[in-house]
Amino acid sequence: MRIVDAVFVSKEPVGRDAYEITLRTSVPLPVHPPGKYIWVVLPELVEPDKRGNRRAFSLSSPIASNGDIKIMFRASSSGYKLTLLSLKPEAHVQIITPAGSSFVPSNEMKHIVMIASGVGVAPFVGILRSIGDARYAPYLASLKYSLIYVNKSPDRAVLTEEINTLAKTHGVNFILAEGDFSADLLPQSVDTSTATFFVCGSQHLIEQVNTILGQLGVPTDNVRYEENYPIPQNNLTEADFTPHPKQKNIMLQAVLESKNHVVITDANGRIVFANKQAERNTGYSFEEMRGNTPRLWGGVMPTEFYHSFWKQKKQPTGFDGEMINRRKNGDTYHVITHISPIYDDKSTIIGYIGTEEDISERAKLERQLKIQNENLARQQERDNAILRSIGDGVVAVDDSGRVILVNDSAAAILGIPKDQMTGKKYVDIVPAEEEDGTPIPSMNRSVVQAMKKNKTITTTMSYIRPDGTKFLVAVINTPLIVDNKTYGSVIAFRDVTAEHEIDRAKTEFISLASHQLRTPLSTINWYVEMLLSGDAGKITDEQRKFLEEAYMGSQRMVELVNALLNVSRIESNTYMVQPEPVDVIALIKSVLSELRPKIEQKHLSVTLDNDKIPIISLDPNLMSIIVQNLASNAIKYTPIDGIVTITVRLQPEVNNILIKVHDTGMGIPKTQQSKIFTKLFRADNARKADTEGTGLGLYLIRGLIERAGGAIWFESEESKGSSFYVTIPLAGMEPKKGTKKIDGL
Amino acid sequence: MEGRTKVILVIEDERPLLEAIKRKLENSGIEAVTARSAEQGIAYLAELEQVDAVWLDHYLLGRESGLDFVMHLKEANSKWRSIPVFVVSNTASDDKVNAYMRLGVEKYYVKSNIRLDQIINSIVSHLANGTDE
Repeated sequence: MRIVDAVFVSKEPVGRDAYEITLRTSVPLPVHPPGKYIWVVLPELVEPDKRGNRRAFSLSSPIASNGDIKIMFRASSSGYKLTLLSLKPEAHVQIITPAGSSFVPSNEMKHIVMIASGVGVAPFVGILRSIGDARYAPYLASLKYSLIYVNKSPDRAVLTEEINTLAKTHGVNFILAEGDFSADLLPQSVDTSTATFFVCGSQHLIEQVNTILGQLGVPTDNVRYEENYPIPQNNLTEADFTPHPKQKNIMLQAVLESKNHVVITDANGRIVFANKQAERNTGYSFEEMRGNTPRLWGGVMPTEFYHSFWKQKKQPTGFDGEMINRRKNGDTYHVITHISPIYDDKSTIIGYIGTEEDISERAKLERQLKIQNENLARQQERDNAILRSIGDGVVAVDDSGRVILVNDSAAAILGIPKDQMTGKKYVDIVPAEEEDGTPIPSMNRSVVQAMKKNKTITTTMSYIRPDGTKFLVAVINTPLIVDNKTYGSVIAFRDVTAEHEIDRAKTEFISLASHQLRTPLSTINWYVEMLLSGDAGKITDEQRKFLEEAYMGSQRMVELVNALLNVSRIESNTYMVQPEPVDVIALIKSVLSELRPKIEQKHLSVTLDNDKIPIISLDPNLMSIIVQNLASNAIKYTPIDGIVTITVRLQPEVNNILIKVHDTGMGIPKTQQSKIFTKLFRADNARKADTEGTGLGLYLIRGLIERAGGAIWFESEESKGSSFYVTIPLAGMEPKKGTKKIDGL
Repeated sequence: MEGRTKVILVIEDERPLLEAIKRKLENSGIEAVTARSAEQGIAYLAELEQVDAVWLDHYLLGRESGLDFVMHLKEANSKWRSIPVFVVSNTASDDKVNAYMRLGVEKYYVKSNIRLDQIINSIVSHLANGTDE
């Protein structure tokens, strides 16, 4: 609401007892839609008037460029009207705006049908005069108008000529009628279900129009009658927030620039002040807000919300809350709002001050967080479900070895309820033994060692349950160390008692089978030995020859059974590896000295050419087997007077040693080289030469070499000789638990 | 002990082997008492006045194995605790060998890897000198 000073300019008769008055405002009123009303306040009345010193009038003209406005009225004997008519030019009046707005055209209206009588036509004259004025185009563009002017007698009509001209100019249907209003007066083009009706005139006209439009089924929302707002005596107005041109108002400036949205309304809720942030938040400029309530950017919340909102803000405590508003561009946004009433010194509410804080971003983040949390909760539930369904026992411990997480399987297998495990040291609640029954001290437990060495440790041991029962487990300990900080470890274990039983059964079977095979062989061997020794009497040369063949056949069988036993140990991975510091060269020399009888028998030249080789951690039994196999092959397959060379090189750049065994023997035919490492394979030339061999040696040592991290390969040419190469890592062999030793051959 | 003929208790389930062993031992001047099961072996121990050594196979007739026999032999208050035991078996699995050695047998031979006369010579040396060779 604004109070603007104005002066009387002139008056003109426009009909019988009807006048049009021109007023000039001190500050030009802003351009606003035609059909708006103003209050005209006369400071002094020539005669007292029961209704006071102010009346509401529609503007009957657009606002002139110099600020002049026009109003129309019919003279009467009221104190107000007498005063109005007696005004002299420059006489001071006050304009209060707005006063009502029922006749404001808007673009949603399809066809505006204006119905008037007498000076009631004034707002419609204002509209007609505004069509064509570029400043009013936003309000009036592309609307269809009809004006029905009904008067009891022609002399009661005003400005009919001007209206006629304007109507013709702007394509407006103008119907001038005498007597009463009737439905026939409506032009054909009017669709009564969608047209908007503006009605302004005498009480009689209004009643007639109301009845007839009602009969025509016109929705009541589509019919507008004159509507004025009451002005309370004490109220905030826009002038209260307009800085005086001669005076600096720091407070006002500060509020204008504040980053909080601030809007001040009068007691009716009409906006009299809005700061820049409010304009930014809502998308409306103050000019657009003027005359409206903050409902301009509201209307999103449910009706009950607004009811409670209006009730609360009238209380001294005001309203505090969150709501969703809508910007001019249609976007909704989330705010925290505080509204409090403003009181005059008599404790009457004269206005409201409201702030809004846009928390859309925060609300968006909160929503995202909520979704994220829901996702996390779902994921957690899924992970828990997975953990629950893992058959192996899984236990997580912190860096001091205390249990922080136990899955269902672990609790079930160990026979300890989860809550009795959490927080306690794992090694205390689950005592363990080696497979042979030796108890494992706490600091040697693999969970402790894994964290200490930052290594994943896989091992087998026996766990002991609270009830004393023991069972064999395969355990994997994975330490969790990030950036040198130990967070703990995860222990995964599996009851392998059954697996172990199966393995033991298999091993027992092999053991028994080999025993069964060996027993008849022993019988043959010993009896033949006894015959050859003469224990049954002297034997002939031919008998000796036959017996020796039989004996050799039996020996071959024994070797084969031994080799098969070794193969089964390799394949079932039940063999043990017991590394010790080994002097490789000494070992090779020892193997060669054992083979000395055969070497001398064939007059072979055997040389050893070696670098200085450091002590390497190796299982001496397995290493001997490897060296012995290669050396005995070289000796076996090389004819009399041949040469065997063993070379040992240190290769620090690849962290291994290279052993090369070269002979000038029969070599391996090219077509058969690919099969040399396969089980039981013997090349044709070897078999033809009647040399003994199981065909398992190379298969066996390749298995041993590769499992130790080494490699074996060869070069060979038939009748020229062969070179076998073996690499052994300098890091040596890893210890391996097993139940068996590989037998030397 | 010099002079007196040695008596060796031979416990072996295979009859042909048992006979070969007995034949060879007797050719070497040693008396052999043969049994085919652990129970039989224990019974002979009780009956015989003198047993200088036991030649023992692992797999035997009856329910008990050579290991059980040794355990009987080495019981705390048994009078046969100090009789040297030589295990001659075709089973070479390490857990068995270790088990026998832990119980305190003198030596373990794998039958098919060794000649009969070698075993006998080894046992004779042991009895004479307390060591091999």
